[in-house]
Amino acid sequence: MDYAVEIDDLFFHHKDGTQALKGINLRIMRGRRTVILGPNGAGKSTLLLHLNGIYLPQRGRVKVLGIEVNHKNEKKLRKIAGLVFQDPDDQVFCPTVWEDVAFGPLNYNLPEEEVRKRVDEALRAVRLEGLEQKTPFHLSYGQKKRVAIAGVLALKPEIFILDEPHAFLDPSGKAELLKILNSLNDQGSSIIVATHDVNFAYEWAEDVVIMKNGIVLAQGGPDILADEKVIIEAELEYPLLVRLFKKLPEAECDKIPGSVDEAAEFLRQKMSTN
Amino acid sequence: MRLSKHNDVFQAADGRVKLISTCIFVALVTMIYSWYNLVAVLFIYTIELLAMNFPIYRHLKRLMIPVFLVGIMSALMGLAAMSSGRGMEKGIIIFLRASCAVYAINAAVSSMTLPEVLYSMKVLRVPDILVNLVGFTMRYADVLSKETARMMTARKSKGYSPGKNLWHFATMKVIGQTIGVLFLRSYERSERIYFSMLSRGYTGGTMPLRETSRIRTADLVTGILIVLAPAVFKVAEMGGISWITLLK
Ligand SMILES: Nc1ncnc2c1ncn2[C@@H]1O[C@H](COP(=O)(O)OP(=O)(O)OP(=O)(O)O)[C@@H](O)[C@H]1O
Ligand SMILES: [Mg+2]
Repeated sequence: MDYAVEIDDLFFHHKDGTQALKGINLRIMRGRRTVILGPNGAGKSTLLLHLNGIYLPQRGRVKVLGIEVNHKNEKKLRKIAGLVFQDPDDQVFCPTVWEDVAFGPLNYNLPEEEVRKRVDEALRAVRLEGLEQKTPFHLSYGQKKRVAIAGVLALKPEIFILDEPHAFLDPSGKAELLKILNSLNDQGSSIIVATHDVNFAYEWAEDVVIMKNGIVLAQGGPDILADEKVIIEAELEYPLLVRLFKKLPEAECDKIPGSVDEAAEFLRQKMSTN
Repeated sequence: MRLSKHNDVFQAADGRVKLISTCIFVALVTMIYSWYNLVAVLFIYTIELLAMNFPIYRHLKRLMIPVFLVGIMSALMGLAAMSSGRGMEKGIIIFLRASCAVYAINAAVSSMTLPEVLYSMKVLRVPDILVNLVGFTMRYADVLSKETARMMTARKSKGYSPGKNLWHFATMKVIGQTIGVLFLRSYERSERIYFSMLSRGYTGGTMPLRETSRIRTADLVTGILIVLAPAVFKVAEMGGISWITLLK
């Protein structure tokens, strides 16, 4: 099997003793769109920081594209796995937007032309053209988030990892991000997103991982989000589509549609047959 | 980091030149022995900065705390030298030398962006470890001030208003707590910023590329201007020339 991520029995506690991961077992397929869902404090961010070797496993093991996460491989891993942090204030620190986006490519000693090209492309993708010379600290939160995303886009990582990418983006920002992620995915990148947004997970993901209290509660296709037991145990809520169709047993649908388009198609057919 | 953008000759000058001349400035100043020469250096350097369009007022505001600290240190050293009977004079000279140094360093550093400072240090072959240390200290100071602002806003929005004076017990308590939490929060944020730098391939060694610009005449003139005042007074001192006697 071709895995992007393989995790076996991973434990991790923070410096203050908080046991954040308590035996994670997880396989994430290569080239897929995976969403990690879980309530606050589930350990999502802590887990993601293992995927590029910022945190090293205290017990158990993690492999990314077959490469073991350990001190020796850190640098290799950081090139493979690009991570957008939850809080853009943690990630955006250069005096200008341009410099911030260029920070990563410059660290890899790419030729100057290539750096400029990548920065321009990344800024265009997140629609921040024209703000190159602005100080990021004076941007709005959502704009900072876009700078953070651009900073990782410019690295062109093979695995693209985003921690809570939707927070603070406006609706068009979310739609654009979706487009970016889909096009990266179409080009073969694996995408891993941690979020609480069940609707996004339900409609966008190919694989869903549900975490709580430092363990993986469930993993499967988006349809596991229609499973009452899973939802209650994970302290999540049903996606809107699931809620709607659970309220409409008379629609007699065996499998709840996976997207608004599918739902519309399904209802249209129902209405025309009646 | 930068104070202003427009038309500031001092700011526009090459970082390497500014750093080197400032180091020479500091070295010379520590070798000047009379208080009036030190005062004259301060005075002349200020005039030079003004002539170069440097926003001196904001610069002075930022100097308050460091100069205050330097004052305390010099007073202590003066006290220690009290037994020799010249404690007062010693203290004042130490204070003036340190103030000159802080003044020049702050002017140079605040006229550059952080990457410029780091880059200049790097091309001047300052060891990596020192460059990184300076980088992190400056970034940390930045984080610290931003966290303070955030926490003050948070407290205000929860209805806190500081008491009239420092002896007001509740105010003292809040200030104490703020400082404690501030250091913790800043520490944690700096750590996360560091993580995010690592995530984007930072290894401590590589430094953002920028065109290695040629040093222009204007840069050299600025450099000479910086070292001019302390050099002149040091030479005068060595030659036994004293302008203050002219005033008497
Ligand atoms: N730097 C840290 N020091 C100490 N404890 C931490 C630290 N970071 C996280 N924790 C703790 O580890 C646990 C998992 O945190 P984590 O940030 O991974 O959760 P999360 O799933 O990302 O939550 P959220 O949805 O709120 O982002 C929590 O109990 C949290 O309090
Ligand atoms: Mg998190």
